[in-house]
Amino acid sequence: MFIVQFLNALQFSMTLFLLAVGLTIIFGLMKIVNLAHGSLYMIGAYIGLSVWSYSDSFWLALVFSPVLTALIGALLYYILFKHIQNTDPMRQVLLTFGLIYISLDSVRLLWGTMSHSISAPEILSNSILIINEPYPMYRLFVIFIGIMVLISLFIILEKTKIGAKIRASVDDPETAQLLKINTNKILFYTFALGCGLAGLAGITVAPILGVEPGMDMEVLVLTLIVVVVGGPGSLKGALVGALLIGFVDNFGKVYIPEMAQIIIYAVMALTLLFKPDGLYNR
Amino acid sequence: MKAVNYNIKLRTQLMVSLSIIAIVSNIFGGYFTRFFIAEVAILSIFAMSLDFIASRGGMVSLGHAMFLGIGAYATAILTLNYGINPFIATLYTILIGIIIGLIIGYFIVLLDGIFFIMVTLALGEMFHAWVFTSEFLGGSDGISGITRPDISFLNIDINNPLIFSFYVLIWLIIIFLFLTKFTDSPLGRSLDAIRQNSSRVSSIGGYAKIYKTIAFSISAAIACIAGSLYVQLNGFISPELTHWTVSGEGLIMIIVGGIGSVSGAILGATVVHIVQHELSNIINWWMLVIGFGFILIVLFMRDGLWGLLENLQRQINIREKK
Repeated sequence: MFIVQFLNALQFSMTLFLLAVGLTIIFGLMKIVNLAHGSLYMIGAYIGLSVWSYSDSFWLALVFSPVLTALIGALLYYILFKHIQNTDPMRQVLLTFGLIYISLDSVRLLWGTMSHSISAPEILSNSILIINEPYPMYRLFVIFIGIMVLISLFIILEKTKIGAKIRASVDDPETAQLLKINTNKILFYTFALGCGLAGLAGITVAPILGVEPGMDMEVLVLTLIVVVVGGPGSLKGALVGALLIGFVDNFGKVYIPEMAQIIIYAVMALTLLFKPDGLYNR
Repeated sequence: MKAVNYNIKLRTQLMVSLSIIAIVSNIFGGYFTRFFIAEVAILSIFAMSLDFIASRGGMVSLGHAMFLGIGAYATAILTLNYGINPFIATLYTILIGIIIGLIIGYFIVLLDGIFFIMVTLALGEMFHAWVFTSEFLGGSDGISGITRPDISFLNIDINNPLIFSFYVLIWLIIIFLFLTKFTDSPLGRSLDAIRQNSSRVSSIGGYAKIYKTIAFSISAAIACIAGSLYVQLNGFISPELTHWTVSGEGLIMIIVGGIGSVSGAILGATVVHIVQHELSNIINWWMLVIGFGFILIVLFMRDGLWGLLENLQRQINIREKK
């Protein structure tokens, strides 16, 4: 029982991590809170749904939905986000708020108001025994994807030149520009990458939770809490925050269901009381 | 950041014209118009509470629907469980709003712009989640059966929509007068100074944190009044009222109206609510249109409708001088 709950919590944490990474990178680079990040997750899931139902292949959906979501993100960056970088936070937030409305109705118009489901691929549809407890393979696969993304992000950011440039642009954009780093270009790519990861979270979760309008709202607030708890702009913070919130949420729901939601917010409140800038503020 | 303009003359003119329009259409309108006016007036009160902290203390709250909910639920419980007169209940909600506003405000007012937005959003959602699961508060069904203040001793039936709209309008005007007085007071000016440069205010001996906390609690109390009136208008309360998107729409209203001018918030609430209502009658996918509208407003309307009015007045003045 415990091991199953533990893995469920880990799987949920990984989904939160995929979402929080994008949000926290965008915040770190642009100082913008993108409330439409949850909408990108929803759109990712819907794109996956379409690809899956046309091609009957989950793997194609898994490839296409992050890529197409990243493209949508890139488009949004050029049309909107690029122009609001230096306005006040209220306008930035409300602009992304407008995007939530647009994406919700677009999804309803394109795919209908019903909820859909995607079935996991054949190989992953079985359960395997983990310490005498059957556990769905697919959830393990989601955990695996989360860890892979984590490792690749770590390698990219810490070991490559482009990663060094990204870190430089986050820490000190002005000095980075002086050192001939094209921060705008870096910004563009990381923004698209963050959006793509939200799409990846959407498609990986689809076989577990289904696809429906409004799924964006459910994760948006949790993701924001992860970012606030972890410390905006910090990758390590996103990971630790996602694990913390994921585990508290899952175990809270199992053991004290009526208090589960409150405990998450209590965790956030406590973090803010003792560490107002998040656990890993830079 | 520039100082908020205090065009007191225009502010009063706009408020008087809006009130006259409301009163006239209330007298001559039908049942539906009267209900609509009360609804718009309540939203205006809510928008003013958001406008107040956004313009005075530079605090953008995405969790203010929580106070709307606190006012509404407190009124429901006080009237239904304790048999308190709804009017007195509204007065109680002011007190509750001030206390909760002081407690929450004390911890969050010094947070930096974006952090403040995120934390208020999370707090508001925490309240929403609690309300949604709380059996005492009726869970997802909410609470129904709330009555309006009994003023039959004056031989007036408040359940008549005409009378109730006037009742709400009186509240609106009182709050408007209070907020304008406050804005023009030394404390209001200090708050504006804090919004522009809080460390400078601290260095000349101002208490940024105390001032901002007071402003936050006043705003919370006003939102509570709006919630209390809302629940009396509809007779029921559902947790939907406390969702953060309600706060988001409130912020859109003050952007449309123009931030910092108090009566601009009322104008914004009126315009946004009418557009939203009419659109949702015509088409199913009104959220799509509204969403695009929001984005265009944010991108292109610098000072909102208030800015347009100011320009208009300036041009008229120039012409008169010629």
